[in-house]
Amino acid sequence: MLTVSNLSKRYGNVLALQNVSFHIQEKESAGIFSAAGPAGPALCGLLSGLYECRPGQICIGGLDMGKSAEKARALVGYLPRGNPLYGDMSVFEYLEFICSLYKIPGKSRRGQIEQALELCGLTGRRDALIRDLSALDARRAGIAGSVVFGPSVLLLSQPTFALRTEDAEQVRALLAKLRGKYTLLLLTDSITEITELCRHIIILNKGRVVSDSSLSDLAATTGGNNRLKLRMAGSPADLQALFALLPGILDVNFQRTFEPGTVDILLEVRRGTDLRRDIWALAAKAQLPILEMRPISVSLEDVFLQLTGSGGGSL
Amino acid sequence: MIAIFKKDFRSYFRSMQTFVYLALFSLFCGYYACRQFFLAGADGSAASTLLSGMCAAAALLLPLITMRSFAGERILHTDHLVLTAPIGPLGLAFGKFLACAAFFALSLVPASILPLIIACMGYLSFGELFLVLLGCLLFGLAVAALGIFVSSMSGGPIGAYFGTLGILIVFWMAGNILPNLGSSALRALLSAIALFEAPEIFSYGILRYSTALYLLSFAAVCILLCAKSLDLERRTR
Repeated sequence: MLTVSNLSKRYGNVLALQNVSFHIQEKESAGIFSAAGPAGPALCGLLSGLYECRPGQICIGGLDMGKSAEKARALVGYLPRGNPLYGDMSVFEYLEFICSLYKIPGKSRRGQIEQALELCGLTGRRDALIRDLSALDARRAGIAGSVVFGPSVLLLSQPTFALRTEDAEQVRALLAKLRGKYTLLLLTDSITEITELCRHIIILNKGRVVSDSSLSDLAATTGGNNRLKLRMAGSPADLQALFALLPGILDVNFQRTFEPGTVDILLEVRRGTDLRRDIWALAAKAQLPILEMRPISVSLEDVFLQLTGSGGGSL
Repeated sequence: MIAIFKKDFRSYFRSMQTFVYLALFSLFCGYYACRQFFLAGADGSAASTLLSGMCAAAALLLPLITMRSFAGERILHTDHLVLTAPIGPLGLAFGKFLACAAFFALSLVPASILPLIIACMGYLSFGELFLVLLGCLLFGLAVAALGIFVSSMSGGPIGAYFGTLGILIVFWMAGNILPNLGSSALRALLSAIALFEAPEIFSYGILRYSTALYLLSFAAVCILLCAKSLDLERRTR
């Protein structure tokens, strides 16, 4: 449905995007996760048709954005970051304007507007001026505007930007309803949104794609080795000698604590090995009390930091 | 294009700025009419003074309307909504121009009330009045197109207003001051492009097609430049 090939974008001396390529299937929900910088907005601008895509190619529904820009733009429903709207229009007028702009025939216009209003929960607010709407309703109006003309691809740039937590939840619930009806492409810096709404994740770092995989594959590759966090009473030297007796421990890190006479230990254990019983038995034999022991799983935040941090690399 | 025209035309009447413009424009036009026909006495130059006064009012006030056309949307980021729609730059520019042109034509209605009363009293013929209004309308179309072009290149409405005003001052100087400074060839060139002097012929009761064509061509060139500016912006953003 949407294919991006070797897309690059430069702002003066800054290379925002470098040879970005990915493919999104029809009706798939994909998330683009980008560290702070111009990469995300640049990609959004190119996909929406705001910028000319050169060098590179964007194909939407078989149409090349470079050659048939107007026809390709007609397939994309775009919600810009910050949700800019015409405050002096009512919700109904705004949707009518969008339908007119996207050349929806007059006969079917009303029906599509009513559908969009119902989908976004704005039926009761159809005649309200957009400037009088709450932040949540205004966001719903923006989303309604991006779906009213029946696009093939829905491109949403930070759809929950500047919303309160409860309002953001409601917007995510609305977007969950849209999943499956449209090809959804979300540009976001929220892990919650990515994991709740997307099945395909593209991670950008310094303008390059460092990961392009499904959510389940990403979760699987982040498994890595097991980690255990312990707090034990004793000296680091005694504890080091204790852990040296255990096979399967790859790395031991000691950290100071505020509790006197105790040490925090981070153990990296070979994947598939569970040493909790062995550790307990050895510690009991050596009379070194275990005050706390818990496994640590690698989260997507850790993955993102790993891929986009100073030591970032591809998976 | 029709969508842009309707949206912009409606939005003019939802802004206080528009009513301030209408009030001031009507005031200026009424003042010039009153001054010429009641205070100075009706004579052959009355229609000319009325037309030049109306054109000066349009030149000062119409940029207040055109300044928001692109620059205002840029400030609010609503330009992203129209620039990502399936509409070409020429359609976008022409739609905005049509809205402004229709609005200006409508604003001539209250502005022509006093001159109409004067025409009914016999001080001004209806034909003269019609040509004065036609001349002002054509001049207004040229100013509107220029204002929209400057707005498409400006970062904000204030810059768009003063940019348009600055260019109009240059054209005014081209017709009034610069011809006195240069050679006959320069005078001929400047008189050919003099925007403010062009509609004056209408006030003498002459419907000169070349003048009408010049003013419409000026508007067309500005609209084309506006479309080019939008296209260039898309390529270089």
